Amino acid sequence: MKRVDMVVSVVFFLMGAWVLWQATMLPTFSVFGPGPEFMPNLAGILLLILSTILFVSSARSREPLPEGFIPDRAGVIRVALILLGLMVYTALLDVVGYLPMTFVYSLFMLLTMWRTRWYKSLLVAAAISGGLYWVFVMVLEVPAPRGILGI
Amino acid sequence: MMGFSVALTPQNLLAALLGAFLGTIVGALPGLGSSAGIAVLVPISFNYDATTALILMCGVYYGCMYGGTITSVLVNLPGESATVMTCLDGYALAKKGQAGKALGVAQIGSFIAGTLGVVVLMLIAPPLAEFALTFGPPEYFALMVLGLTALAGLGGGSPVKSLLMATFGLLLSMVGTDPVGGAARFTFNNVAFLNGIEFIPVAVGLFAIGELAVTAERTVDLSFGKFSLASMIPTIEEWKASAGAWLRGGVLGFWIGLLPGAGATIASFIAYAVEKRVSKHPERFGTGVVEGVAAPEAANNAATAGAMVPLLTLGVPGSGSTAVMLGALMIHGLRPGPLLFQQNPEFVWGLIASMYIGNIALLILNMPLVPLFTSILRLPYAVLVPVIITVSFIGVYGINNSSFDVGVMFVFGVLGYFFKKFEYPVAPLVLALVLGDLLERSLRQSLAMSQNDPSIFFTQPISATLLLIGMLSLISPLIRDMWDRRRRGASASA
Repeated sequence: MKRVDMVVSVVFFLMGAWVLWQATMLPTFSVFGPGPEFMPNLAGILLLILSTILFVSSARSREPLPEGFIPDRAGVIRVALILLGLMVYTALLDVVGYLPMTFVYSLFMLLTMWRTRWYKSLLVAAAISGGLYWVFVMVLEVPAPRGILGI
Repeated sequence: MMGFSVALTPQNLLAALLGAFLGTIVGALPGLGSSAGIAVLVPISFNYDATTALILMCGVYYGCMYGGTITSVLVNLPGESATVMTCLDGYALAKKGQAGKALGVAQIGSFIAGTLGVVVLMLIAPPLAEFALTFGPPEYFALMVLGLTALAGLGGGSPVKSLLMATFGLLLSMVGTDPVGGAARFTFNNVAFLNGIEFIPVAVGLFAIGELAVTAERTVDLSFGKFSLASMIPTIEEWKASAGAWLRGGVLGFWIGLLPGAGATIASFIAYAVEKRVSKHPERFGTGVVEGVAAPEAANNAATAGAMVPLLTLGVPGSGSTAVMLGALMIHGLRPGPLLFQQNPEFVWGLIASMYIGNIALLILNMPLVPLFTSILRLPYAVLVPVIITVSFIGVYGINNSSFDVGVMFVFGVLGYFFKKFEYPVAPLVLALVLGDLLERSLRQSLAMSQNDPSIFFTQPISATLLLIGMLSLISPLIRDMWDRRRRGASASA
């Protein structure tokens, strides 16, 4: 994890510096005790110190990347699908509404990740979205985003 | 005793059973742990009152310990990090055709240790809560620092990385309005940020989605061997051996779970190591010895009861999953800590009583239901992924009717994937996010009390002790390293 840790520690270091910079713009007024800039300053300094420690210790370590760190092609595709699908789902949820979006999303995931007939995926996707909709929106009355179709 | 009257209402009874059942499934699923399961349930349990919600989540917590055993034994895949040790001897037993025995020893041990753990919890919680009534802002601050440093030092993983994550979590908690003065911080002139970052989207994203994504990297093939219920009965020797292991694992597990920071996972590791050390035949561990299953299983269930102690009495979680529960409690308006016992006794005792019920239910249900669980686990992973993700979505959205929260969940889902891959522990971040507000308030109040003099934390005896323990737990990994190296050096030169 050596290289990874070194990069990440730099990221955290920059974050610490950024926080300290932002904290200078905060008001320092307070009736009793330290003001609103106190904790951000503290956190920023901690980040700087800790990331430096991490940088130094990872530079000196000889730890190699663990086995299987870079997943095989199929694995990369699966992860990318999950994360990208998630992004699309998040973006369109308000526009389309929970029920249709869940159906589309489930269908998409099943078609790409499940090695089976397309109509099975269709059925299961419908079952998932319908079932979840029933349980959560109808039975438990949890609020769900309604899209342009009103569902 | 009043607790039972609360716990036995139909609603709470149902919650306990449902929680235990769901927990077993979540625990059995490789890739989803107790923290993820609890995090996903938090928003869904909103509509119900705090007691029911917590009973549900608690049920999930120890249900996971039972469920993880199933996959550990049958497939050699730990369903939950606290059952990793069970794989060693459990799977070996399964290969010898004695899976039933392994499961039986594990279930019985889990039940005994879990129930005893609840008894001890019941006994020591009230006096501990009384003691904590004397706490003021400096003590609370010190306690929270202890929680974070203990989690960093004892929770496994690099302490530096854990502290980094905790600081990051603290920063996240600062987004929004300052808890003492009301100034807007880190809001970038965006109204959405003014309310701060809710902890549930972060927790669900980090725990549930992150874990899912990482598990998706390799195909998960669950093929089960056959086993019969009849082979579940251990022999007399095995009973005796197991009984010792149950007791040792249970006691050890409870105290380890009690420590803020160390939870069921660490407890199971240590219990296994100790059992091996005290055994007359340590070399047989790994080949299929019942003690190798009995000890860690007892430990992880006892640890869940132990972790509830600091959560309920002091308001400091004993583990990652209890950190999520803490957040849930705060959302329901209950502040765990000494006052909780006085102001909401029906909640506390109802919860504790439900833990007894849940343990019993799990014992009875588990053995016959194992076939049911295995068939659920046979569902292709591709089907489970959309279900879990969409359930998380609706849960998180439902908190504030806010797509912003959903966006936060997505961001932290992606981050969670990378954190898990790069081995940056996620629990400290969530804990710091949950505690951040209160921590800041305590710190600033303490300094206000002492006219900005930081020595107040060290002149107050309780606070000084807590901070000392916190510092010790931070350096303990270093000490352990040095000790190991010296021992290795000594044996090399001997």
